[in-house]
Amino acid sequence: VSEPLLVLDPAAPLSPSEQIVEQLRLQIAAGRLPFGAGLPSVRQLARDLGIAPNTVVRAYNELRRQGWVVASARRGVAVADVGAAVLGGERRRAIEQAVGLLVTTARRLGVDGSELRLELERQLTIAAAAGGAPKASS
Amino acid sequence: MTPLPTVPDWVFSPLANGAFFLLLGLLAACLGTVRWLGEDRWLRRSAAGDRRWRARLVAWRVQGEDEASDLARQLHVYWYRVNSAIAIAIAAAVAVAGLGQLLATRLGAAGLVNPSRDPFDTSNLPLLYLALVAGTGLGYVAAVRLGRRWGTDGPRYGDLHRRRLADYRRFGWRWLAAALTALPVGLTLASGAAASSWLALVVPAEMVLALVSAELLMAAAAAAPRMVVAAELAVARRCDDLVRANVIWRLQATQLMGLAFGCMLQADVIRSLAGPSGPAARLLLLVVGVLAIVALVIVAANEGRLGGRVTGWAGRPMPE
Repeated sequence: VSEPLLVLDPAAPLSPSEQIVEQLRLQIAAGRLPFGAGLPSVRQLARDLGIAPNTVVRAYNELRRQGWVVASARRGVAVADVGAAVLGGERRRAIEQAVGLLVTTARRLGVDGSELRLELERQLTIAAAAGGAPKASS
Repeated sequence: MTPLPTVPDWVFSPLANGAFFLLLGLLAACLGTVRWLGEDRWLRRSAAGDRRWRARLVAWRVQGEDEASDLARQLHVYWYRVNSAIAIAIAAAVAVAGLGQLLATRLGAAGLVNPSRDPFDTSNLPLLYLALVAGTGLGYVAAVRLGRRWGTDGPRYGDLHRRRLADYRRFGWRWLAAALTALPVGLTLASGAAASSWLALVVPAEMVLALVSAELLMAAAAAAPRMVVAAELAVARRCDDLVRANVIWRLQATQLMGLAFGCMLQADVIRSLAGPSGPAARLLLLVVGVLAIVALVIVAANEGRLGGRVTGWAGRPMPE
C-alpha cells in the first residue's frame, strides 16, 4: 500500500528516460527498493506512464550500465547489490543537488538566509506532522 | 375446431439459435451504447451510487467519513464508464458466440456448440457464460485503455514493483477453481460417458476453457495500466486498486458460478450417457457443484477483498 511510486512530470526539464533513471536511483539509495527487489516489466511501466517501451528500455539500460540494476531473462530487471558507500554517496549527491537548487532559487527571489531557514523549518514541521513521507513516494 | 398454429421448426433450429444470439448481442450492444452516451442523465439521479462508493473509500482507508464526497463522485463516474464498456463487450461477445453458432451450423457441426434445438435450453448457457467471462475481462481492459483519456491531466505514475494477480487475489483461489474443474473432467472419463459419446466432453471442455480464460483475463486486469482518477497520486493508486479488485472479484465470482453450473449440467449429461458407474459419478458431480456454490458464496461475501497482498480479506484490517 505504501510502496513507492514513479512519477513522470511532462513539464519537467529532464526527458522521461532521465526522470526514470533519477527516481529509481533515489529510491534505491533511500533503501525503498532493497537489493533483489524486482522492478516492473518494461511493458507495465511503459503502459502506466503512457510512454514508449523503448524509453523504459533506455532507462533500464542506463541504470544497468551504472550498476544500479541487474537484468536476467528469468527474473527480469532487479535491484543490484550496491555497496553502502555508493548508496550513501548517491544520497549525499541528491541532497546536495536539491539544496543547491533551493539556494539558487532563494537568491533569485532575494530571500535571505534567515528567511530561508525559517521556511525550511516550517516545511519540515509540516512534513513531520504528515508522517514525513514526500507525496510522490507515499 | 381449428388447430392451434404450431411453432415453425426453424424457430428451434440451431441456425435460428445462432441468429437469436447474434441479434440479442447486437441489441444489447445498442442498449449498452445508449447507457454509455446517457451518462450525465443517469448519474444525475444516482445519489445512492455516490454513497456506496463513499462507503467503499472509507472501508479502503482512502478517505475519512467526514471528508468531501468529490472523490466518491469521480470514482462513481469512472465505474459507470467501466461498467458501460463491460456491458458493450459482453453484448459483443454474445453476438460473436451467435455468429460462431451460425458458422458451425453452416459447417455441419451444430452439435458441438448446441446439442439441443431449443435456444433457451441449458446447453446454450455455457456459451453465454463464456461470453460473460470474456466480455467482463476484455471490457475492463478496453475501458482502462480508453480511460486514460478520461483521467486528470496531472503527472503520470507507475508502480515500482511487478503487478501480479496475487496482489488482488490469494493464489489458492486458482487451485480451488482448477480442482473444481479437474474433478468433473476426471469423473466424466471414469464413468465411461465419454466412451458413449463425444458430446459428454463438451461441457468439461467448456469448463476448462472458462477456467483458463477467466484466469488469463484476471491476470490481464491485474496488469492493466494504472488509472489517474485523482490529482493526489497515492489516492489515485488506492482508487485504482479498489476498482481493479472489484473487477477481479467479479471475474472470480463468474468463474465459480460457471463451474457450479457446469457440474450440475454435466451431472445430467452423465445420467443419460454413463454406464453402471454413472449414478456414483453423478452424485460426486453434484457434490462438486455444491462445493463450487459454497466457494461462490464465500467470494460474494468478500466484495473486492479475496486475500490479495494489496486487498487483504474482507472483515480484516486493510494491509498497511
